[in-house]
Amino acid sequence: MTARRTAVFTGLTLAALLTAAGCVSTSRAASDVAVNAVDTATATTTTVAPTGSTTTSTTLPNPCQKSDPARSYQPSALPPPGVPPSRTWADEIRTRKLIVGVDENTYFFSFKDPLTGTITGFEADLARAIARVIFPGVEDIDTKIKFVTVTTNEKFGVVQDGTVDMTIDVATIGCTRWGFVDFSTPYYEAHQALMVRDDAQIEGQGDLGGKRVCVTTPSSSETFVSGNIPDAKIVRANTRTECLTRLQENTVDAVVLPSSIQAGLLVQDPDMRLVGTLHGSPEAPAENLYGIAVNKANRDLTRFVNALLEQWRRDGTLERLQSENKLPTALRQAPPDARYLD
Amino acid sequence: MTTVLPPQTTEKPLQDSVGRREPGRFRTTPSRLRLLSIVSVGAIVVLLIVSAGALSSRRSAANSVRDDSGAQLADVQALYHVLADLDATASRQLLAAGQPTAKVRQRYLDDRDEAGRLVARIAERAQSSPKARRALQVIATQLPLYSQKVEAGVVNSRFGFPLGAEETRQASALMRTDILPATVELYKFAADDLHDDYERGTSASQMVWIVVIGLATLAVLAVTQIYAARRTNRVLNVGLLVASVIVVVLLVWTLVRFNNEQSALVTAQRDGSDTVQVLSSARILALQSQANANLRLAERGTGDVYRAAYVDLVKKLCGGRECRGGTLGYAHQLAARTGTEAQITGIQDDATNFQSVVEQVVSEDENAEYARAVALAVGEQAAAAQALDTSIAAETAEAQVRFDAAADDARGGFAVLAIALTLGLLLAAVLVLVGLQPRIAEYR
Repeated sequence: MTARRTAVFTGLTLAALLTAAGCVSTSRAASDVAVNAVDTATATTTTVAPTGSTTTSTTLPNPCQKSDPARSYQPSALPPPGVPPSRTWADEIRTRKLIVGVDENTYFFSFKDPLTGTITGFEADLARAIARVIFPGVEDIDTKIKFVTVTTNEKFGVVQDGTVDMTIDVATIGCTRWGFVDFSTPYYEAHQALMVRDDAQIEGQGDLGGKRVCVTTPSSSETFVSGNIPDAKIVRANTRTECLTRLQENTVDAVVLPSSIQAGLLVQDPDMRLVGTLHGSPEAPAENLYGIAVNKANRDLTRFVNALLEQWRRDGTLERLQSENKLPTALRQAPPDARYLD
Repeated sequence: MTTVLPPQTTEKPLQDSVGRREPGRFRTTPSRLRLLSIVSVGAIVVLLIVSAGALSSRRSAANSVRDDSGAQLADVQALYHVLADLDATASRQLLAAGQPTAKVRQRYLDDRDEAGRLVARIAERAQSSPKARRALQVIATQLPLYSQKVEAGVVNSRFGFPLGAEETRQASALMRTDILPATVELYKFAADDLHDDYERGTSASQMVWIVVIGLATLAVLAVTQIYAARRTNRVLNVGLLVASVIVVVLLVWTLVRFNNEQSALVTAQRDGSDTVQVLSSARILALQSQANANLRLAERGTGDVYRAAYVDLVKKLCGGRECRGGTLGYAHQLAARTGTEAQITGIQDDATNFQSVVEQVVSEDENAEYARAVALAVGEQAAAAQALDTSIAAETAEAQVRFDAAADDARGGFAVLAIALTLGLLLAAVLVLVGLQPRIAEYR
């Protein structure tokens, strides 16, 4: 009898304990919330990639002459010194700032000085010179100019969609590009150049068969390599400095970019060298004439820029900006001649 | 088939005669008592095996929650935080002009060293998991490369070369596309392991089995007691009685210990690791928001992707500008368990403040006041981000203390119980034999 009573008592105790045990249990709900929060966070940030398009079709005319793509619209009359241009576009810009698309990585031409944070270089100063005419008498012109840094892939898209008033970013004038933007007359002339590691067995364009060649995309250099060195393996980079790091890390064997850019890269890594002279074809020329890209809807701004460039060719301003930005002697030049469409 | 059938039919009578003879062996009282003693001892041994097995499994689960899976999760979260902090620091460096200050430089070095230490500790614990090893391999091989790019970035920037910024950007991309995703994988594995331990340590089926087998053992002991009492004219068999008492005591002790361990683990999770995990994620989200806000500004005007990433991250962190939803809103709900809502509200306010400063930076930038935007970003915005990080870290540490205390409770007292269970049940088995042997002997 005692044993049975004990059994009953024990049974009840155990049943009570079990009930208590069943009441509390672990759950992974909170853990899942925590893990998912950061998981998708990473997924979002890894999909980050620069976008931009130069392929939007446009109904505006393409005035480009295949024999001479550098021909641009006739210059307009400049206002007297100290007076802002009395144009609708100028009034619009004067209510805000002049917005200019530039590169932030191209030494000598346009780069963000890591010590000051300022956009510096020949092209940046060209933009400042234009801003000074639109905003005469402004002491610190950087308060009237907004630099938008663009990648090679973005530089015409931002002109087309009106994000910037103009892009000054070693943009080679070409007929395909005239379909998307208007170009000023050329302010600088460069040519495609080949850079290799100092110890490389590459002495010119003929040695590039089967080699990995870095170019930015889309660019005149990409067109040049695919048109003239078809057996090279093209490696496409977003920025010009990326090509240099790839050459340093031996993930490419050579870099093909315009001479203007190569000179700046060479300064940053003296263990590289420039070799040979590259030869192009009419479809993929080795020469680069750089123009300022302007929205096709604002032809009057192109004419205004052309007028300024005309004046600066004559009075030596372009050469002065080159020397002020300490361009190497090999890069200093008298600006190319202007030729006009109409 | 048909040829096999006849022999089977001839064997059948043999089997029947064997079957009939069997029950006859336990018709006499001594043989029945002997059978009952064997069954009783058998039941006690089964109870010993089952409860010792459950005990060792729960004990190892509780130990693992404290020393292994729990510690691993904490280390992985710490690693993730340190890496996100490195990335935020790099993005800030991309934005600020000039050389990194000694403070920023020291923070980078500290983070880098801490990441190395954490990777080594995590790797040691992850030896048995091939998946975790793969993720660790990515981190271990890419982190030196990351470090090299950051260093090269600093050197080149010192020369005034734009190559430095490119290297910093590449380092940041490496962190985002390779290193952080591998860390998320580790985080998932660690969270899974902790939950496996929680489940192993709170298994209800173990308790049910122990109760069932324990009650069955007691029933067998009771039946034996009653049978012995009737057949031997003695009221109680002392050996059986003491054995029954020992079984009851040990059963209750085991179930109480298991129940305490279980509720301690539940407390560890509900009051501790849940909050630790949710706040750790919030801290990582805050750092990544900061990194993307900085990159948007550093990439001047073409940073739409970073802006989109920032908006997305802040939504996950806060739900909205008032920061009452998202991960922090959830943390606030969890805080009701421990009555720490006020602290979480403080964090939410810090997050709201951080967001307003970021929006100020954006509006300065959109008004083309780039220099002012940068000054604000490296000044006030960085300070707001730091304040947010600090307040989340403090509350995470509080939750970690609660977790550690509860996890300590969960694993205490198993050692004594293990010894008592083994010795006690063996003693009970011996007592059954000792108690019944004289009664069986009386019939000889």
